[in-house]
Amino acid sequence: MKYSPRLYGLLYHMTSNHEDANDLLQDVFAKAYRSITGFRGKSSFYTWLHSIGVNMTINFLKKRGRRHTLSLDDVDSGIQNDKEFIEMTAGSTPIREANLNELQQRLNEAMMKLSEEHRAVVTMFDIQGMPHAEISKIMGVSEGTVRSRLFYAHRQLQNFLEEFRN
Amino acid sequence: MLDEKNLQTLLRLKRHEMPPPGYHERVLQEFHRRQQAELLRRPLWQIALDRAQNFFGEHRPMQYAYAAGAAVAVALAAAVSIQSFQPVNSRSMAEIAASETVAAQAPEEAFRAPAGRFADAPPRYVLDSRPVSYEPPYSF
Repeated sequence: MKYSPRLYGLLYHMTSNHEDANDLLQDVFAKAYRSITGFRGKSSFYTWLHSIGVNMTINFLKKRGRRHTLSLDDVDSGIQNDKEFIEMTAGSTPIREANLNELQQRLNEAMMKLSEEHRAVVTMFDIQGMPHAEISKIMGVSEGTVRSRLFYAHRQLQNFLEEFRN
Repeated sequence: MLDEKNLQTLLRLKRHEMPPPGYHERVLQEFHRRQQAELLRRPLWQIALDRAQNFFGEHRPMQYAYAAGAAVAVALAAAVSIQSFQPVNSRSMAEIAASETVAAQAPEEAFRAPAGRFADAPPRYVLDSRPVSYEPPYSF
C-alpha cells in the first residue's frame, strides 16, 4: 500500500471528489490484484498501476458525465511552510488576496472544465511532477501528444482563472 | 490572465490537498473488507467468468492456440496409429467368449468343418497331423 498516497493524489485531482477517489482507489487495487499476472515488467510497477488508475478514472468520468460535485480534501498545514506558497502570497500577485479555500475551489472548478485526458496530463505533470516520458507511457501516447495536451490545458486554465487578475 | 509561471505554481500547491488523517493507514483494511464483501455478494459463476475474462485478457490466446493445436494433432495421430496396428479379422472378446461357450456345450459342433468353400475338403486337423511313428528318433 506504499503506492496509495500518489495513486490517491492522481485519482483525487482527476475527480475533485474524495468519495469518488476513494472508491476508484479501491477498484484500481482490486483490478491490479486480479490482473497481477499480466504485469510483465516492461514498465515499472508504479507506471503499470498508474495506467490502470488513469484508464479507470477516465472511463468513470465519461460515464458520469457532467453530474459531479466537488468535495475538497483538507489542505495540509504544510502548505504554510511551502516556499512557493510563501512567495506567492507575500508578493504582489493576482492571488494574493484570495482566500486559500476559495482559490482551491476555483482551481478545482477550472480543472473540471478540462477534458479527462487534459486533466490527467495536468495532474501528473504539474501537480505530481512526473516527467513527460513517464506520462506518455502511462497514457499510451507519444511525448509530443503529452506536450501538446499540456500546452492546450494550460491555455484553457489561464482563461478560466482570468478573473483572478482583476 | 495568469502567466504560465503563476499557473504552474498554483497547480503545484494542489499537492497539499490531502485526505483525512489516517486515511492511507485504513486503505488496506478497507480493501480486505471490500474483497470479502464482493466474494460473498457475487454468485460463483460470475466470479469464475470475471477471472476467465481477466485471464484471457492478459494472456494472448495465440500462445495457447499453438499448444492446443499441437495437442489435438498428437491425439489424432495416436488414435490413427492404434487403429492401423489392430488385426483386421480380430474378434472381440465377446465373440471369443461366445464361441468358447458353444464349444463347451457341444464339442462335436465346435469341431465340425465350416460349410462353404472348404466343405468338401478333409478336415484340417487330419491333414496337419502326422503319425507318431514319423517322429524322428532322438539320437545322441
